Amino acid sequence: MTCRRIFTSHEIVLPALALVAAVFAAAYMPSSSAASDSASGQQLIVAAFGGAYGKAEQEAYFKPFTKATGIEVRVLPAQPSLAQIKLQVQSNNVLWDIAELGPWDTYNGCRDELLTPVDYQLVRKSDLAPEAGTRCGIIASLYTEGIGYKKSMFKTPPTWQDFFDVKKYPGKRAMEKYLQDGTLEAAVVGTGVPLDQIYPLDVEKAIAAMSSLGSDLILVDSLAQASQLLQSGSVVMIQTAIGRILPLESQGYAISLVGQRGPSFFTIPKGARNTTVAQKFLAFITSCKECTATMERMTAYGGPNKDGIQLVSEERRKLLPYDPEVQKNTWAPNLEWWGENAEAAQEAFQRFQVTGH
Amino acid sequence: MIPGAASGTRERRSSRVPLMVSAQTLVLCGLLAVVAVFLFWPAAEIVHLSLSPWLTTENFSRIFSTPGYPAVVLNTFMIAGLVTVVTLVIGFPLAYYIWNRRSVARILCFILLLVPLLTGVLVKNIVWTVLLGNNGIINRILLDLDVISQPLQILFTRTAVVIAMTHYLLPIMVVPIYASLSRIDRSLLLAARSLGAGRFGTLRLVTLPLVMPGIVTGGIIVFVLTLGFYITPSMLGGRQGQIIPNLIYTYIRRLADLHFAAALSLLLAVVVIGLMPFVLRYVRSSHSVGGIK
Repeated sequence: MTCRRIFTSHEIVLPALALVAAVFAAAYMPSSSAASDSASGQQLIVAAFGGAYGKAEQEAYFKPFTKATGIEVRVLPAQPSLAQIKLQVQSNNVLWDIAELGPWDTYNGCRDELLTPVDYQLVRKSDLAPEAGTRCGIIASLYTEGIGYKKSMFKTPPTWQDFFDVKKYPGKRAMEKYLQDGTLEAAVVGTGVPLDQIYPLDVEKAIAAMSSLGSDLILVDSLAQASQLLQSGSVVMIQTAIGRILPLESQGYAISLVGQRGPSFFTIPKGARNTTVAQKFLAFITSCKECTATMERMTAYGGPNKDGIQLVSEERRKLLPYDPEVQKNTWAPNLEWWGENAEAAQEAFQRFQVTGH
Repeated sequence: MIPGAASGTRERRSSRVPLMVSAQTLVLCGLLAVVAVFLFWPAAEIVHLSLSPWLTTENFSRIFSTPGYPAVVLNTFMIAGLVTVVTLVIGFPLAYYIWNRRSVARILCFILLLVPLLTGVLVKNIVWTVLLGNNGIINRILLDLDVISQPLQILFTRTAVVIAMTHYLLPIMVVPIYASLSRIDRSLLLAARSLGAGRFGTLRLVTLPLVMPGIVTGGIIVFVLTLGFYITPSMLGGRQGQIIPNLIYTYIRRLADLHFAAALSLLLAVVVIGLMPFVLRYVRSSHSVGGIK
């Protein structure tokens, strides 16, 4: 078959036209409509995570906000990240009014001026729960992490020292590759470092601790995977978050709340079309007790209002990151430290994954 | 397939080419414009990103100077190479087997081969977790049969990654090999047999050289696709699943360092594009070794 033969005849024309049409359709589709709606000021575009957690956010924050202000909230399950915001800001085409970001992204975005600082004239600081507000973000949730385990296999809830002691508790354990959830901090605590002395974080010490577990340490990609390993009996302990273990309680699993208090922030990308409404939204969820209470009831994650906790049951309160007992056993990530050292820590962790030390 | 015949076609065609050319050229120009805008431009942007700020090669030297990263690069190509070899070792006999079936059996084989392609890669990965886990089906069967006394650690190793990727990519290797096989004139094989070649001799001296183009095509496609896999190594490879695509993801998603991510992407692209001429030259030369052009 010669080359010419391939390119002659109308066979190629139709698919080619279809391709051109498809490409143009794709290029025109999603963003422009979102942008024009947003400009009218009657809609708040939120990039968040979706799933069961997204449903809780819908009930706790977005519906009450619409009810109170008449402003419609449109949620895009966009898995937002600072990289996306950076591209949007640089191309002068910011699509989101609110983006939910992890702690590193929030801190770095603020430092690199990719995020608009929270307007604390509007947002009442006195309403904020501890750790609920930073310069560029108000928490959507503050989740407690810890060690997930099977109740019948442990007399007392395990600590990080137990986690790193294979002699005391033989078997494999799983930790997360996602460093923002405090993997390295947990390892350092496992060597006996007190919680108030975690930072400045000794990355090499953390890696040495993980390395000492050898093949008994499994690094997983997601908390869902960790749960699966625990349930299948492949591992005896997992690093996880409370939201992952609560649904498994009836099957005999429990969580020892000794991990990080991990924040997830609502932030405003620089140059968002509806910055004023976005600030109003942050002010609203901060002042709304019932909103925070709804979040706390549905997920056992903390919300931004400090008094919301009074509206939830005693039992639930004990699981929240604001509970004094939980506060004592958990730590908050030091974002200044991570802002300076994330890249180096990530590189060292990558090296550990490949070389084993 | 005979040179004379091909050029004959060309001559016959030339009489009615002029009218066609304009339509063809138009479409081709349109397509080229699309390719230019949606492929070359972003590619140029990636080159630009990887060299900035200020035309530096620092992003590239960083790949090789950061401890552990050369090992990631090596691991990437090792997994890709392993998957290519394993799919070939399984794929060639499979294609050969299908080629020798009668039509109905052949269609059935193809359905069996291609249906798994319709399943999402995530579903397959989860199934592999269940099959390969320490408490998984495979380990339990082996333990019950007393083949092993300790569960084998397959999940979260490079082996698991290679198994899952091979499973996913096998049809992609088989189809081009089968296409090459189906173009073989079976009388050549009869001729070889009648001239005294055994079954194996025929396979080695006649069939194999003739399907070389299919093997190389399948090999290239599988190799290139393997280099782009992200989820499978990440989910099944544990610590041994660290490959360049994971690094790219980490740098874009976690660290928002687009420059280094661009450098990593470019490294992958350059290696693949650099391999092409060698492979293509090999196809051409092996093609003529077959004796028929």
